[in-house]
Amino acid sequence: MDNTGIYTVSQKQLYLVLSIATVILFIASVAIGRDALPVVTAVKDLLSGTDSVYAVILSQIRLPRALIALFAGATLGLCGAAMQGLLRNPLASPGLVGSASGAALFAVTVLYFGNSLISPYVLPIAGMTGALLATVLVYVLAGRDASITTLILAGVAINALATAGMSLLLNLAPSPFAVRELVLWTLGDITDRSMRDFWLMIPTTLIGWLMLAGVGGQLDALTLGERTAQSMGINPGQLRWRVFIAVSLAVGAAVATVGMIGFIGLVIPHLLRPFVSHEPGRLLPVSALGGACMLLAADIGVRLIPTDTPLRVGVLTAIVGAPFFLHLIVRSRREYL
Amino acid sequence: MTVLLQSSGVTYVRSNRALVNEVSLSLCAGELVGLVGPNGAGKSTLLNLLAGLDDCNAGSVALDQRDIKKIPIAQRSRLLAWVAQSGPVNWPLTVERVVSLGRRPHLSAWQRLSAEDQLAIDNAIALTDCENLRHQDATTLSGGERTRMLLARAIASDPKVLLADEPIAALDLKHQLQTMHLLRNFASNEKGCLVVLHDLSLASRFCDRLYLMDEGKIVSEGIPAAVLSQDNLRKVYGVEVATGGDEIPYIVPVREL
Repeated sequence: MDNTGIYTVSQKQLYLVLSIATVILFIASVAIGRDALPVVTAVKDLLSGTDSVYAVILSQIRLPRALIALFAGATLGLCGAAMQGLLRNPLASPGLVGSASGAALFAVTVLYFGNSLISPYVLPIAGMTGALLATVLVYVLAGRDASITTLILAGVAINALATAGMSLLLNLAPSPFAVRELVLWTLGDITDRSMRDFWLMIPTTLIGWLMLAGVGGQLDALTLGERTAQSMGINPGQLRWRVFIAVSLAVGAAVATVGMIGFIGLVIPHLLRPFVSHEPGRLLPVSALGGACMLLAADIGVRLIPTDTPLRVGVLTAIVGAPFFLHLIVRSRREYL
Repeated sequence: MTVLLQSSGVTYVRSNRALVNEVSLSLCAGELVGLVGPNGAGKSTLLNLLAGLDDCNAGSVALDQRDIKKIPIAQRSRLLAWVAQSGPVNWPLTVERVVSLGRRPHLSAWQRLSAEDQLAIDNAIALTDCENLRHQDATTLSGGERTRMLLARAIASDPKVLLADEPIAALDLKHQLQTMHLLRNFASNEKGCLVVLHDLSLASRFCDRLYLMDEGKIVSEGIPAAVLSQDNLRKVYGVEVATGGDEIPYIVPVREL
């Protein structure tokens, strides 16, 4: 690649632009919907305790939706950058760790047996449990001193297992309506979420983020290969597990809350990499902001695009992301062949 | 003389084969020591053990008079630098950025490069003749340029012990000389360098002492003239050599035995 140094954006400018974009998209996400919401009035009403319809829409519909998009998007961007840095491969994505499909399988199981009707907590908690179980299973399968290849293979195996489980549930679903509900859930969606969903997702999300804070320098050193990184004072085995577990926790929480939303973790780090001189460490926080922007924007997009059946946000990110993925493969073929 | 690095009876077994077999060697402050031997003799494997990257099955390695296994990995990385034979560069970082990674052992996770760090980086870049490459994409370098950059990374970390695995194998004549002078100067009174070499002429000219390795064992050690005797080379490499030159010794392979 010859684009080193082409983008002469300073780090401050980059953070400024991404932060402003995030704030604007967040406000837009609160304001835009079936009915436009006068944000200032709604916030005033909410803070002063006025029981207006605006305050209710803000606190019960728009705010949770925007907050979940913000945090889940940031998780996907951050975890994509972390996985790409760890595996030293621009095509790596958060889905590789297997926890996303683990979360999806458990969530779909809960939907299938109708357990989600018992309590609103059941679905997200099941998703989180599935993500954690998948992580533990990868750990057990791969062993403590697992190589990158073993880890990826274990992740692929878990993904296959979870997909098989979901196929079985779809196959056995009693009615077309049940099938529809299951499929739609997996497509990824942030409508009809409450603050309760948001608070449920936050602890594991933040644990994952905190575990990823401070690995930047180690990912930079990993650029020179695991052995050289090891000679530079890094324990590659420890680093692998730290990133894997962190990504599992954060992505598991995101998937349990919003379903499968692909391509953000792949596209965002790749787009932003040239702006941070391809340094894997500096890419982490930038990708978190970028991921938040993309999911907020996509979630606004599904509200603005007029379709008879509501468009799912995961479908939109896939439609935008998949061609980009193809473009990446074509370009990497040109580079390495 | 202070012993910086010492191995006693180091053995490394893989698939029932002793790749390194009871090797005892030492590296003192101020010394440039060469490790020579045919392909597959176990030189690189030995270097990995000495760097603490792999654990030996028997024997022990002492770095700065302490068991290397008991030195915390972060502290070890400040004492010892290891340059791989052909290290990968996975992202298109600039050469300067790669060299600056050498300062990592001295920085905490959130610390930025200080003026002192920058000085060490600039110094390493100048010593390895990488100045004209400084802003270039590290993934586009030639084999020799990459070796120099990775050596600069190691120099920038300012270690007491430098282990270099065939640092001149891919270099042109000028840069071979430059690198040998660089290693020679590096081994000043406080520091030591152990280098794997295939060029026996340069090894005998620049190194204080040599270890000759064959099939995992040290078969000869001492001053270059003694180690690189006709007899030894015939036995270990299986070739007839022509030697000569007093001030600037040369060793040229003539024919297989």
